[in-house]
Amino acid sequence: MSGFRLPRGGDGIDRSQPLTFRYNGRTLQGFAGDTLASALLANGVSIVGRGFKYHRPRGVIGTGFAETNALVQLGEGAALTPNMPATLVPLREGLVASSPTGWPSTRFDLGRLNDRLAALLSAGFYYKTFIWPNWHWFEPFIRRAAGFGTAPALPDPDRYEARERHADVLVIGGGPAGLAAAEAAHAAGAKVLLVEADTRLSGPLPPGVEALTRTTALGYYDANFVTAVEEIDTGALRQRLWKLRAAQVVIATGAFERPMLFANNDLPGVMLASAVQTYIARYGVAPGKAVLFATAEDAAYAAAFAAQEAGLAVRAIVDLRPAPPLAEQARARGIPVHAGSHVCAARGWSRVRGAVIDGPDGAQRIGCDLIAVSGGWSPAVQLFSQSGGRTRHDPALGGFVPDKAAQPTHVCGLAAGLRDLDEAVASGRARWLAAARGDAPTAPLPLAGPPAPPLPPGDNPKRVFVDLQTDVTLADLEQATRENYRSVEHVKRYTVWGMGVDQGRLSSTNGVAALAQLRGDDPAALGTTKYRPPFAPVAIAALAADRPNGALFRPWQLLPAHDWHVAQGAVFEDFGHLRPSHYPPAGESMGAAARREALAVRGNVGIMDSSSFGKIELKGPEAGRFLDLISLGRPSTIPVGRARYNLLCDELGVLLDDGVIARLADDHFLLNASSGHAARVRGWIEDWHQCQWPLDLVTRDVTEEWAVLTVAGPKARDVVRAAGCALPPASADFPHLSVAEATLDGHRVRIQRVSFTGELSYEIAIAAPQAGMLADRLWEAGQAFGMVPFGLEALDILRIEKGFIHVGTDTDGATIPADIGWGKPGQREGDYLGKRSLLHPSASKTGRRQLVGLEPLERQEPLPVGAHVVGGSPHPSQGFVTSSCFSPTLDRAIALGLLADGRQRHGEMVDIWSEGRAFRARVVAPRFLDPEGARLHV
Amino acid sequence: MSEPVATEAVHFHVDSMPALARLTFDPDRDSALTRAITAVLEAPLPAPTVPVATQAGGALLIWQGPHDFLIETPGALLPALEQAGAGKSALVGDAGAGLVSFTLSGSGVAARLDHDRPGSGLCSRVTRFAALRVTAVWRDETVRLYVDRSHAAYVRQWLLDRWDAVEMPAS
Repeated sequence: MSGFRLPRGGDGIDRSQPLTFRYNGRTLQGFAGDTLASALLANGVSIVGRGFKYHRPRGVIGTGFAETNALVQLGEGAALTPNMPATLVPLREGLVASSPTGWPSTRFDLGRLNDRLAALLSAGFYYKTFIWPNWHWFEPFIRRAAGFGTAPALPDPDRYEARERHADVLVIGGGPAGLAAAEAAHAAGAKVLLVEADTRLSGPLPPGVEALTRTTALGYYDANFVTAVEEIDTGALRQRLWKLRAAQVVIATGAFERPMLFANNDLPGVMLASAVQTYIARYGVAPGKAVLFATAEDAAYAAAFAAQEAGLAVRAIVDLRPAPPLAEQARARGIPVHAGSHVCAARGWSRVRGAVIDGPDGAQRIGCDLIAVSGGWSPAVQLFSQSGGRTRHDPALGGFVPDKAAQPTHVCGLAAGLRDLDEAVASGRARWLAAARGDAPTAPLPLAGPPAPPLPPGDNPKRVFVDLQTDVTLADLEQATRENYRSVEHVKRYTVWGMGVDQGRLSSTNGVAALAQLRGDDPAALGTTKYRPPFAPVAIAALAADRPNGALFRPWQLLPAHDWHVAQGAVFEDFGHLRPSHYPPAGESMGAAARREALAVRGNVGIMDSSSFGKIELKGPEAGRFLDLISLGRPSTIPVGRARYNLLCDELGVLLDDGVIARLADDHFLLNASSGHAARVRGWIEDWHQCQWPLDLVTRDVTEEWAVLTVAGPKARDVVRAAGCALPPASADFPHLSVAEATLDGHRVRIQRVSFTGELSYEIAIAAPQAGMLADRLWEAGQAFGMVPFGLEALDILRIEKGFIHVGTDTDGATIPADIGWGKPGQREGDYLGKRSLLHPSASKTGRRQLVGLEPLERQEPLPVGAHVVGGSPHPSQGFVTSSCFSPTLDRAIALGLLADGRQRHGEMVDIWSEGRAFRARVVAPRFLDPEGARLHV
Repeated sequence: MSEPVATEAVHFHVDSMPALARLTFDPDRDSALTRAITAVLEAPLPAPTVPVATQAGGALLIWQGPHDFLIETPGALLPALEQAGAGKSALVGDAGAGLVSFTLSGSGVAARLDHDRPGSGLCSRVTRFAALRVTAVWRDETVRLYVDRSHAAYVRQWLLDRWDAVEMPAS
């Protein structure tokens, strides 16, 4: 234990609000305002994880996003969240966290044996070692040993949402430069949105500027589109995904302090100097008692002074520069300064116990439990890089800075390499003012700050860690260089440098510098790897926040009389619309219910809901002519008050849909489309009307406006009359395929005598809100006639018995009208869509698959839908079963199918095969019942 | 600093039988028909640039597409429009049979829907909501969404579950 809570200080915590939390099974305490990381340090927890490969102990190294070691798992069970940096987790009462690495525990990990086997575990060792006999045999073990965390196995109980926001100026970062840019932009009249990942801004929010705190910009895409995730943690809502678009984007994301490269630089107790300062000032936490500062620039001196003022023993400042400007000031405070020196190695087993330094005075060991490092600053160019902007290496800074923007993007403050506060603030203003003038994005303002030092060599490259999260060492980079990996992208993939969840925020610049040193090359020539979204770990559920699952996974539709069907005991099936499949009394199976309902319709009367069928009205002087052009049935010749079965084909003559067209008036038609095809047919009609035949008519989809209930069966007429719908007294006065308008209780109804069951049938349409009333009325009237409700399963039986096709089920992508028995190809007079294709010889050739009926030899066993009709050798498919059922009326299984030259093969026995099962069936005409249609015309 | 928008409430009420008419015709094809219709409406037709217009009698005319207009509270306009469109390429119908209106209010509405709002004050847009095509009409701080009737239950569920919205009794 080295870290502890200071007796005073900590402007970010509230000592009057203690919080209890659990970490690795231990109950610990912190304060409101703490992060999990600061609370762990305050409780003396030094080991917060284990290395990815060697399982060496790791401690907190930074704050905020500058953390690569302290990845924790939050919560338990379904609420488990892996891979959260403890530095980004605000402490709350009852928080449960654990370290995912180490077995049997994080403090004592048997996996550290790997550290002894480091010579065998070089870069890419698993690519080379586990090839034989099969990589996949070893993969699970390697993944288990090397994983960062455990994915929750249970469904995520939290909720996520997505929002969109537009702004004139989006400022990313709430530091001094970002606030200055926001203030200047607002003063210029812009609508400004500022996002900041931290819980607080660095200063007061300028009036009129909107800010989202705890909101991290994740990705920067084309057209100034930025995604960000907001941590909520209120109630069940956990995160909110923001989709932001702005005319100008100001990046003020600051910079990351760089670690230094020396042996054992991964030990707990090695921490960024800025982090030491932050833990003392903001959280009142001392990460150690005796501190040694290793630096190459001035900022670490401020941290050292702060540590001393907090009561820590500052053992020394080891500065790479031969003449540090603040050395005398430090010495005046009694702090030894070793100028021109560097740390060679940290000493300790489970945490830092000392440091070996080397310099003009020779090598020496200094006892300490905390090594605060500051190897310079790397501008946070991740978002700039994602936006397509180019970076360049700045030798003065020793890192990469934004160069040429690809979008209206402006970088200011530390992100632009400006380290002086006044300059950073000024740059924020200047960036915005340039944007307000509409200036083209320019290179950032000149850099300031001392030059970065050369990297100090380590005494054992296998213990010098370049990437702490993926355990990539200087030795790995040396090996990659020896093996002639030239591109940084290739080195990255070979060694996994920068491929952890931190995306190399702390390791990228050091890695490039090390590679350059190893090659004797210029870092500018190497460049950096490409940064990709997301900038920080994000729950996949947040990315899918506007794509709900469960009941809202996709829009569903209810029939206008849905409640009535529920009251009747309907079982629903999702066809877009929830439609009644069958209405079973308790204990009745679906098949039995369907057969019972079908028999009732054949023998008596039934009622079903047809509201989902498409209803498209066409009106205008040229409506009939237009319909003639897009369909086969010559609708212009339909008399007013009558209807006709009709086919729609595409340009290839292939069936698109079928249905009845009714003529409501001379210039007014109603086209009925299949439920599943309604939207497509409507779009298709508009397409041809607007683009090809702009005749004088208008079209409108009225499907939603009308509810339709179908009464079918020999007693249908009696039921409809009993319900109060006025029908002509004689059947001949309202024959099959007629349409009329009437009123029912003052409501306008439209009655079509059409049938998809083969029985006398009336489709009664009424304004959709009146659907329940109509259903009640018909049901009440039908009780005297034994009427039953019937669903889609029964309808399927009824239509198969009659050989009525369902386009898309009994047809495929090559079926033309002649294949289903609709006359000779192209015989109709006049021009129409698909005619030329239907006159082509291929439409009349032999071998076309034609609609047939199939009677299985086993009368009681329906054929599987999709089963192939096979013949010859080696049993090529001659066709397939398209619809199949057991007909209760015929007391046998029947089916429809498409069969090569099927119409010439009536009477033939065929072999049918499906998934290893064989069947025999007789080919018959596709009309099993009432082939003359007598039942329709009663 | 702005308050987290998670706390901003949305209230809504549903009108399952809104007073609506729908007019379908091509204003550019038949100038006589267009004149007849505008005479009935006593107002210029809404257009893409002015998608909503208030008719003298108080009805609201909403542009839904080049040939597609919605009329809120049409009153006696419906039979007059039917007469004007008789024998012409025009369809007039009771859109209230096919649409359900959701009126949304509360401080959270602007935060959630204002990115779609085409202007201030009274304005409208055909937009996408809950993965559906809807017509949205903004009036000051409220938004009215016209949703296909078959999707009304889905949208209601969406508002309750996804927005934590509070359903109010129909006014």
